[in-house]
Amino acid sequence: MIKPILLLLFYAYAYKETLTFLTVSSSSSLAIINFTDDWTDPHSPITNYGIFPESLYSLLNLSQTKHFEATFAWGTPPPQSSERITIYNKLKNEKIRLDKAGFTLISDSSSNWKMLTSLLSSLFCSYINVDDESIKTKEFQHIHTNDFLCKENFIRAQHLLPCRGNKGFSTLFGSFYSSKYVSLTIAAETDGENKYKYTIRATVEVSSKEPLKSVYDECISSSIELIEDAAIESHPLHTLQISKLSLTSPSSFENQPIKSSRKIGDVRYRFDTTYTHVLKNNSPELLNIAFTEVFPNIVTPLLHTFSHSPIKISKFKKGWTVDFELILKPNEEISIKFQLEKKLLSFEEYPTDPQRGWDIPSTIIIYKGNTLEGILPTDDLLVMTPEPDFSMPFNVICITGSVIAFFYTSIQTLQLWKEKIHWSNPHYETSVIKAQKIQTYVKNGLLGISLVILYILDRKGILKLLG
Amino acid sequence: MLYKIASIGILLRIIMYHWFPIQPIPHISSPYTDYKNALEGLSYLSLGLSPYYSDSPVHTPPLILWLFSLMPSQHIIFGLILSADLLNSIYIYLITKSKLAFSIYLVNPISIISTSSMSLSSFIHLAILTFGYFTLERRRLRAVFAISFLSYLDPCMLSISSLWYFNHFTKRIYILAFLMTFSLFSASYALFGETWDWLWSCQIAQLLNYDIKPNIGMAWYLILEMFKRYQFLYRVILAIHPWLYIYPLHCLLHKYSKYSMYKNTSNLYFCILYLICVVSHPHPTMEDFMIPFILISTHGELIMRVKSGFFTVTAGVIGVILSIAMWGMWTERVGGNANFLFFQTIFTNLMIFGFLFGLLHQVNEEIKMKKHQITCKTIVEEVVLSILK
Repeated sequence: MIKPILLLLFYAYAYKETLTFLTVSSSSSLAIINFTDDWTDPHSPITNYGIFPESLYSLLNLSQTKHFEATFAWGTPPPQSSERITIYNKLKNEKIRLDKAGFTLISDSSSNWKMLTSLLSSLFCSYINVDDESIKTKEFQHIHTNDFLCKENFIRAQHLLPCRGNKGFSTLFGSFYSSKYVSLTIAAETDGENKYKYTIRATVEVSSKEPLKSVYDECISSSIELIEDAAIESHPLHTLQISKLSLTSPSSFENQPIKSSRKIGDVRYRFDTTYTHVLKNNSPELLNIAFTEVFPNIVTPLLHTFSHSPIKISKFKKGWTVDFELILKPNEEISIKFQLEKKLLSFEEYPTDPQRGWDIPSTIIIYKGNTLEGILPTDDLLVMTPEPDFSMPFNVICITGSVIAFFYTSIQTLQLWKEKIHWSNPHYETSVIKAQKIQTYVKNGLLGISLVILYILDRKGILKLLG
Repeated sequence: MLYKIASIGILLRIIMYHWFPIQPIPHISSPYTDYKNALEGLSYLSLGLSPYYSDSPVHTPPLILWLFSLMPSQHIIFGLILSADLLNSIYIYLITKSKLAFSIYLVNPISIISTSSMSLSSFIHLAILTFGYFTLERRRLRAVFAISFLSYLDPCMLSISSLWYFNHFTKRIYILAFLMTFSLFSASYALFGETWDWLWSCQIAQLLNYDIKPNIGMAWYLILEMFKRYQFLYRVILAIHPWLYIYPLHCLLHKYSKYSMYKNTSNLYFCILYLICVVSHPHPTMEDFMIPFILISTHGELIMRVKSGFFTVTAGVIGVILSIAMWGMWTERVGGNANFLFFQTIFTNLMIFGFLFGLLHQVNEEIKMKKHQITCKTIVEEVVLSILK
């Protein structure tokens, strides 16, 4: 009697489903739903296929693969979610990626690629053409195809979960279809001997106000993490409320040895603004502080205005990162100030609510003293920017185009049209012959151009002139 | 007299620079000529970073940045800008031979504010004015130096080099100019770690208007409101645009020179093309508009005959003043938006071009009149001769 209970407890410990919410904006969050299981048996590799899927075990062995990660994704991740994921990965030592739409497969370089793709096609209901160009390095192989995520992929993924869609994580699959961004990952690895591990993970964009409430239906054990304003704190299920307005500051950061306050001294529609970050050391210790400021593309930090020199400033596709390393003496307060230059973007590059402002995401301050060590999240900020008019691009294009056309034609007209020559002029006859010649050239030219256009249209199948 | 005016001009600039620093507005500075831009580049260099990369806020050309990095203080850089400004006034005097033009340039609020806010456009104006002066004086080698610097500093103004074509210079001068420009570009390439990133950040970004800031030109709002798919096409069209006026201007003004015996047509061509370049420029400033107007004032007799001249110039000035007010309305959010500024800038540019069109129309009318006079004279002579025979 005791043996089955112990076994059940062991299994309960082995299974772990986690649900993490990362707030990325006032309206959307990222839900990361993760299931991980591992198996180690020195005598028999896999004895109970109900716990560890046989198909994955066979796949790893037949294809001689030590590690693979297959991801299906659709849609575009919400803005600034990649920064959030980066911070989350750093803090939780995870390797979560926001893959672009399509199917992505990564495996170790020693795997039998043809066998792996073939087995994976049946396991995950994916189509991989082995003739497609894959990237191969000494360490890994990688392929990305435009295969799209469909219901069948979710059903196959459900079969790899212990509750087979009856409870827990897999019950949420149905609600993913309405999401703007979904990424479904199956990863498995082995040490080549007896240790096996597999992960099924879904990263989904959800509305911040309506979280995945049906997650109450637990499978074996569940824990939910909530990351709001880059702070990490675990919440029991029944107190979960995801809404930017209703959440209070996580209690674990209340009594920190350092205090951080960020501000933007902003006149809404001016093209520059002052950014201030005040840091105070409340502890009796000397603290080493490191943090990174992340700015979106809409603003440019002006290096010559920095009150404290950063150790690094980098430009990436969506903005800037500025790295600082400082030493704060006991009870010392420093104020980092610099100017941000606001940019004007093309009217199509603005979000649907441009007057809300642009997020300057909160980042993590890492501090370390002789005895004190930890992290502190900074405040989220909004920066207001001037914007062009969104209602009348046609008018602007039309008016400016007409003005430029007027400039060009007005000057050309002065030169282009010849004066009429009177019949009494001795050059009258020669000018008439010249004009007739030009007329013939123009006529033939227009005819030639028309024929070429007709021929092109015919080749494109728009006109069926030539049969 | 000239010394006194020069002293007053310099003194006013120093006073403004030292005691009344003015926040740059788009009418005075552009992202490509703002001193803040050069300072940003110097800060990158001091951290051992390259100031030139994709979307970099630094557009100051490498050689200028290198020159500034050698200067021990900002005051010396201001001294350089002030000297360039003084040289500008001297070349304006040499081109126009007018003390009034010299005085207007030195003692007017636009150029004083521009210099005191350390706008680097003084160097561009110097390159244009020296090019104009040396070409008009037919000093080829100096003109080559000037045009090379101009193509290095502001390639948007390069169509002004067609003054050589108007003055029938030989092909050798074009080859020399190309070699000189190439040597400047090569020096920059060698100076900044053998990469061409600076070319994209400075010359190409300037030519195709990649760093868009509001200004009194027409291009910025057109590009902002243009669908992304067609933006590159319009950027290229706007860059080519000033080159389209070279041939008609060349023909028209040569005819004018032939029929009306007007000796100063080269100067007139230079002034008109300068103004066209400014109107077509992606980020012009008020000083950019002011200089060709000062230069063209030497053709006062011709301008006085332009019927629409008074209306267009007055309306243009009103447009500029209103555009300053509209800029304030937008940025202070009194109730305006970007359209307010756009309307005034388009109106101002339209009026300036209207003035140019009026001037060229007058030139065309005078050509016709002279032709008619010559034809009548010939017919009368033929009739008289036939009667005498």
